[in-house]
Parts: sequence; C-alpha cells; structure tokens
Amino acid sequence: MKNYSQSTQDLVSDVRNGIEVETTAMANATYMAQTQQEIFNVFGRIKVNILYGEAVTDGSANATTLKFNFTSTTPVIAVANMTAASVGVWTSAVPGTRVVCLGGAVATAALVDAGPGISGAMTPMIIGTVGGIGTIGILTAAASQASGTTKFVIDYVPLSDGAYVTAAH
Amino acid sequence: MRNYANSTVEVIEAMQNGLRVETGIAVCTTTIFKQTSVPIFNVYGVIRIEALFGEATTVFSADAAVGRYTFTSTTPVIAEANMSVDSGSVSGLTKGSRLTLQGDLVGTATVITATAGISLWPLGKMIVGVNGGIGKISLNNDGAAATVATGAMQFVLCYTPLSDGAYATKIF
Repeated sequence: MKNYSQSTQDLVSDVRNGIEVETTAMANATYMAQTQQEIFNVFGRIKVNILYGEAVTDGSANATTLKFNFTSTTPVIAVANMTAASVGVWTSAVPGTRVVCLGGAVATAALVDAGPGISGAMTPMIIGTVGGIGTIGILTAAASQASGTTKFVIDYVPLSDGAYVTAAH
Repeated sequence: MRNYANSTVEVIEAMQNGLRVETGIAVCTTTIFKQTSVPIFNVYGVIRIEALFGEATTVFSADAAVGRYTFTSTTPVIAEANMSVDSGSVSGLTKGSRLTLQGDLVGTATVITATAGISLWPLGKMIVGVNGGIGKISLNNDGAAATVATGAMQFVLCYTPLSDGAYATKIF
C-alpha cells in the first residue's frame, strides 16, 4: 500500500471529487422554516459533483422536505429547481443523516437517507453561466424544523475561466 | 477548505473534465441556426469528448429551429455524419440555456436545458476523429424549416486526447 502524504491525499480527493466547500452548521429553526435560503454563491459556470446537507445535531420530529435550487442575479434567472422535493423527510434526523442532490436529469427528487452515514451519490450537473453570479439555495416544505443543525457540502470543478464557489454561511 | 492557487484549480478541472476549448460568440443574425452546417471545432487525431455544449449568451428570437452536432473529416475523407440527432426547438432560448450533446449512442438527441443556468452533465462520452486525421465538429441546423433571426451562442468542448498528439481547437 502506498503511503501518501495528507496533502497528496487531499489533492487526489479534489481531482476525483472536485473542490469542496462547506457551510457552517446552520440552525434548522432558521434555515429549514419553509422559506428560500441561499447556501452557496456561484461565480461563473461550474460542474457540481456532490451536493448534500448533513445533520450535525439532532433535528426535530417534523416532517420537513427539502429541495435544492439555483438563482442567478447576473444574468437574471429566477429561482429554478435543481431537484424536486426530497423523497423521505428530514424528521428527527440524527447526526450523519444526509439529504442529497442526486443530479442527472434536472428536477430529479432529492433523497433523504433512510439512516445516517449511507447515501446515494450524485450524477454531475452544470450550474451557472459564463461570467454569471448566482446562488444555490434550499427550500423546505410541508413542516418547519424546530431544532438541530445541518451543514451543507458542495464538491465542484470550474467550467468557465475563474469560476468558483463560496459558502453563503 | 483547501486554498489552492488558480493554476492548481485549473489542473484539477483539466484532470477531471479534460481540456476545455471555447469558441467566441456566434450570432444568429449571420452565422448559426441558418439551416446550414457551421464548423465550430477542429479535431486533430482521435479525442474522447467529455462534454460538448453551446450556451446562449443572448436571448434567441421566437423561431422554431433545431440543432445537432456532426463530425466531418478531410483527412481521411469522411462525409458529415451525425454525432447526435436534432434537439427540440431553440425558439426563445434564454441567456444561460444550453444545447448539450448527450453522447454515448450516436443517435441520441441533443438536449436543451429546461431552465437557464441548470443542466445535466452529459451522461455519455463519445470518441471522434481518426488516428492522424484532421476533422471538425459542426453545429448543423438543416433539420428545421426556420432560421433564427437573433440571438447568440458560445460553444464549449471538454476533451482528452486518445491518439498521440491529438488535440482540438476552436474555429472562431
């Protein structure tokens, strides 16, 4: 077995999965309250390889669904679904439970894990426009979360010169 | 989160997506969607296409044209042949909408983004070109009865060489 340095392993991960950006642990009561919330800023055009939210602390027992969407200010593109509402609900989500953008065809339903630590992977999507400025957001429905925290993660590679992503939180 | 230099980020992109080549902006008033075939990329040798799409940079007029990608070779001589079949109508295509080669099967339709700024990464790959050959990828619009009066599009090709020294260049 090869014994790579940590920095080499990091680079292997980034080459294979893309560059990872994470939000902080966001309070469910604030960000999963059935209102539109932006989680990542997108500058230019990117290829999204992985996009999910992962419970950091226990969520409340409310049957919340979640979908991922994209909005652009330059050029102006109204909020549009990247996924449909999740299959499965974010109820009493224990740490490690993920809600995953499955990608592929636009508006494929997001997926909430049946249990923590195991989830489906994503078929890549192209998001944003050359020279554009936009955001990837979430919209929850059916019920609001009262407690718990969730961190969102994106792995991407640029698909236009200088394209990049930052966390909105 | 790692803090890479931009040159490292570019290498990560190239290793994952292949080498990216972009055309300039082609306008519908004079160049594309005129019911003819318009060359967009030169192909030298054999390449594997990771992604090929056009992105609208100016909104299209309401004209029901369609488009598909084709390959033609001058060395050796290979007549223009479909890489995909015609897309749906590009009428009113908004800025940020994409016309994407889906790859895999040659007869797969070219896909238009349902929403500007969001599209799927092509699910299949394609191999085009001939070892030591010279050819070109074109956008062919002869499958519709309408031409597009206004609008503009930029084309993007992500590829990796498959034969020694193979590469692609933009035509405009």
